[in-house]
Amino acid sequence: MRSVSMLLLSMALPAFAGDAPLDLTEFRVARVEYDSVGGWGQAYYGFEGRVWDRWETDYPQAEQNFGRRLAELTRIVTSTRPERRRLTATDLGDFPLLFMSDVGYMDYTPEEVRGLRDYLANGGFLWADDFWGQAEWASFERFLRNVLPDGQWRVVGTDHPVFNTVFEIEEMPQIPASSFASPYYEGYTAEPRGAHRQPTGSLETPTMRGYFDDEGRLMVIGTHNTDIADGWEREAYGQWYFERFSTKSYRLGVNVIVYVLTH
Amino acid sequence: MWFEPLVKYPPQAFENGEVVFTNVVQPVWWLVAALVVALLVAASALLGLNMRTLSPGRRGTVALLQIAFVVGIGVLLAGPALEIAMIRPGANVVAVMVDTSLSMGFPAGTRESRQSRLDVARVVIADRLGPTLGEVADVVLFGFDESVSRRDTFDDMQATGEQTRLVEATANVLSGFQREPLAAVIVLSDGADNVTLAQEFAELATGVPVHTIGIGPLEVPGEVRLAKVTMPADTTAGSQVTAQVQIEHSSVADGRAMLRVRDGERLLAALPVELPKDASTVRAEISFDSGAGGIRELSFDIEPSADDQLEPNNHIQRLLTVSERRRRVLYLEGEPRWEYKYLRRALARDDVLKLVSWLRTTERKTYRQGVADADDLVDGLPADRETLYGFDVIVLGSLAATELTEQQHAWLESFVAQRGGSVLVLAGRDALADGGWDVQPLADALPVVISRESGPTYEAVTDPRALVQPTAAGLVSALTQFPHGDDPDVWGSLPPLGDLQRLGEAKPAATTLLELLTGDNERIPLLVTQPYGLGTTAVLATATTWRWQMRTPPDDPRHRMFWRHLLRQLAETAQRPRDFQVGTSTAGELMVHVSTNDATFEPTDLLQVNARITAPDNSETTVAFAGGDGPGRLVGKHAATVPGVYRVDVELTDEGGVETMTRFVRVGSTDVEYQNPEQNVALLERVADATGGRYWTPGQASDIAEHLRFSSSGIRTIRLLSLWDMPIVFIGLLALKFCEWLLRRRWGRI
Repeated sequence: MRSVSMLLLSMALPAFAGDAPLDLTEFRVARVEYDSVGGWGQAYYGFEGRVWDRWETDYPQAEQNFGRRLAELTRIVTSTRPERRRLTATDLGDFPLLFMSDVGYMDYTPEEVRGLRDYLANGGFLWADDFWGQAEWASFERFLRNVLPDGQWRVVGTDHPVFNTVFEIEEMPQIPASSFASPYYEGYTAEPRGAHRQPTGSLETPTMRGYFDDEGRLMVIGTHNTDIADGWEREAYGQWYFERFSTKSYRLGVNVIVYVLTH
Repeated sequence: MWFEPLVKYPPQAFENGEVVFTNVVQPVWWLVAALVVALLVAASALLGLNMRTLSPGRRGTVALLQIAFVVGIGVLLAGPALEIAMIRPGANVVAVMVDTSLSMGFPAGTRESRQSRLDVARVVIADRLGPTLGEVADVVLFGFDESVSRRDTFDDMQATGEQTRLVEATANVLSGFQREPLAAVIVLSDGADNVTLAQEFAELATGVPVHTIGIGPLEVPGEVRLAKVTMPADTTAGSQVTAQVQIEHSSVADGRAMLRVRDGERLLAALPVELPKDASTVRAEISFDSGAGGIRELSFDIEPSADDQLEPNNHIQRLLTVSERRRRVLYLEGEPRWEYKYLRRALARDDVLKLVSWLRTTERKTYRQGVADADDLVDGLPADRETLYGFDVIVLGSLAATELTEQQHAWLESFVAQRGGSVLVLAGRDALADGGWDVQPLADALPVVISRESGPTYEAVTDPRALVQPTAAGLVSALTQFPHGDDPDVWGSLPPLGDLQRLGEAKPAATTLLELLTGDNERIPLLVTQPYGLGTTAVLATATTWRWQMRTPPDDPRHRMFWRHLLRQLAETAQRPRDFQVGTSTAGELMVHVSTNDATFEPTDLLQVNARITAPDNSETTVAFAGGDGPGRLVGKHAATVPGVYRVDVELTDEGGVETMTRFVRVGSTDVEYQNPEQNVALLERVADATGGRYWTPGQASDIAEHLRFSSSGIRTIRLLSLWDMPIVFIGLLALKFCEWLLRRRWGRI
């Protein structure tokens, strides 16, 4: 089953962009390609007629949409060409910002741990998104404990500069996957417990959690209990979704990118 | 001389004397008579029966020999003599000066020789000069090094003088005998004068000949010495200091020596230096960290080789004043990009550079970092010149020229030319001509011609073989000499760059320090710089040096060091509005130069200057100032008589307030005596030539007394020295007759 899903996956994904030389004059983000534990519904799942591995959630449409909006909203010269890399890639350093999604079932090797550790030590930045509840956070935190043995995560409050580099964001947005969003329940935006790894604990409070370097700069953020990238990917899902969720996703995305480019 | 027995008298007798004929009043008639006799003899030789059968040529030869003989006899009969002035024995004085500087304590010859040069001088005086010189004149003794003093004996002389003023000391002795009959001055020295200026030689032309006796080896095989260290006298805390070092050696084979820099006992840097046998002068650059604020007494040491004879000249001491003042860098960037992030990171926690940055994030928004308050740089480049001039370096990123007002563009040019700041332009879509900078005043200051005629000049580079290489100038430039550990391929092993700005033609004063070497062996200028006015401009034609950080191991410091070093060096040229410099004159005076400008670097009038000089013996002196070479410029002098480190505190008061500054300076360094272990024959000969004297070796010293009898100075009497009885005259006449006899016999006419 796993091999069949990987075959389908390879057919659905764009060609591996690493074959073409990179234009380093443009800003780009690389999606981290990783393995996940478990079987159907855990390491991979079906959605919209195809099988998705966990790492590719929202990929590549989220990056492509976000790249266009980033170029429109800021003076960042942005590439919309999707890029993906494993943490052991030799050219990982050409992507000073890595994006990970759906990391709740993540599995990793010592080489990947070492690769990310060196990457962060050089000044790279990791943004992990779309993981909900206690179990998925614990999985990701366990991975980061291996990468940063001396690190300690902290909640990044809205008084942190990352929330006002471009836009003044007063509240951490909670963006549900489009399939769980409803135009009729404006007050409740958390995804259902059953869609996530157990035990979930509370899913209702979105937070940005961060690891800081010795200079006090953020080097890893986890946008927990929220799916920021879905706000980018699904911007055309409907006008109500765009206005209610995508605008918030873009505002936070722009702020994070400008923060990463300035710190 | 070997020929003196043949002519009876020394050469100087013939040089100074005049030939006269003593036997007749009108010797010319005698000569006419001798000529007539010679003609008769010649006629006899040519026409005599015995000679008729010879060819005309042979007859002519015989005639010439006979004529020469007759003429010679005629000259002798006229009583030739040399009329010459000779010093009157016992009526004159000869001054004998002995060099007592430190270098006279060096070995006189090879390493095995335990005799010092001063020992040799004593032997020369005792055994060679002394026995004969007293017969000619009274001898007065002097010792000299940085000063000259009269001595009763040489026995107590020690080679302890820290400087040698040979010419000045000789001039002082000459002037001291203006009322006494000084026949000559004899100087015994190795010629290691380390103070004299060219114009001082004129003071020696008094008519009294100065004879020099050179002591010490002419060559010292295997000798290695530090000849020169050039480095800034002051710098900022935590900065990289680069010193240019000149090493001289006389190695007989290729070798290597280790150059070290120490602050007291602490090793700051070490550098292996190749010493090829076919290059006696080797230049090297060594960089080290200046450390925290204060004064550094640095020691530059070259490791002695096995054949090195003189260890003291392997060291040079230098003083470095390290100030805590941080240099301010303003970085203006027109688009968020990785170069901005990693340049900021490279300068984070830097003790020297304080970075203030302004970034345009959106069409309507900017982001400022490092500013002092919320209003700083709200409009980008400072809105007033005073604030702009408060920076030392300005970095322009991908910033369109339209971001600045016309007034700000003018200030940017004068920031370099007048204020002495540095501007560094980075590559980018809106940099240089692509950003409209070709029509702005700064274009005149930049090191390359920028033109938009050829279209956009910024491009991506995807060639993985494109590497950065320093040019020949870049290999020695302080701008690109950042410390890099032991990696010999510091540039070639860096990750390739990812972008490039094609630059226009370099201006005449520009220097290309780095190039991009493509896989097709094309060399493209990458870092170009030039002085402009009081400051410096530079263009770095890339904005992907961040790859040097992200594509190298985490402990590779090259990206950080490159940026810190480049910007610190660019900041070094920046002037301070109010400042002072301390130097030493050749006369041993401390010269304090004070300059004051307002915040816009226009000269201002000082209301008050107070300067206090603390000598090495802790004595304090207040300096009086006089007008300098322009408004806002003052000069003060102080006679520094005690060697060592002087502290100079200057308090400047003008309309801008009061500012106190401190500098240190070393006076009377002892290391100059060790610089040249060989005998300086050229100087000794020059002194002798300038006065009509002569250079002598120690072995020739016993001839000096005889030579002095014919000295052109002192109380002299006119004497006639007969010449007719010179052995060479009789030998010559006999030779003429012998030749004639030999020829006649051969031709069958005897």
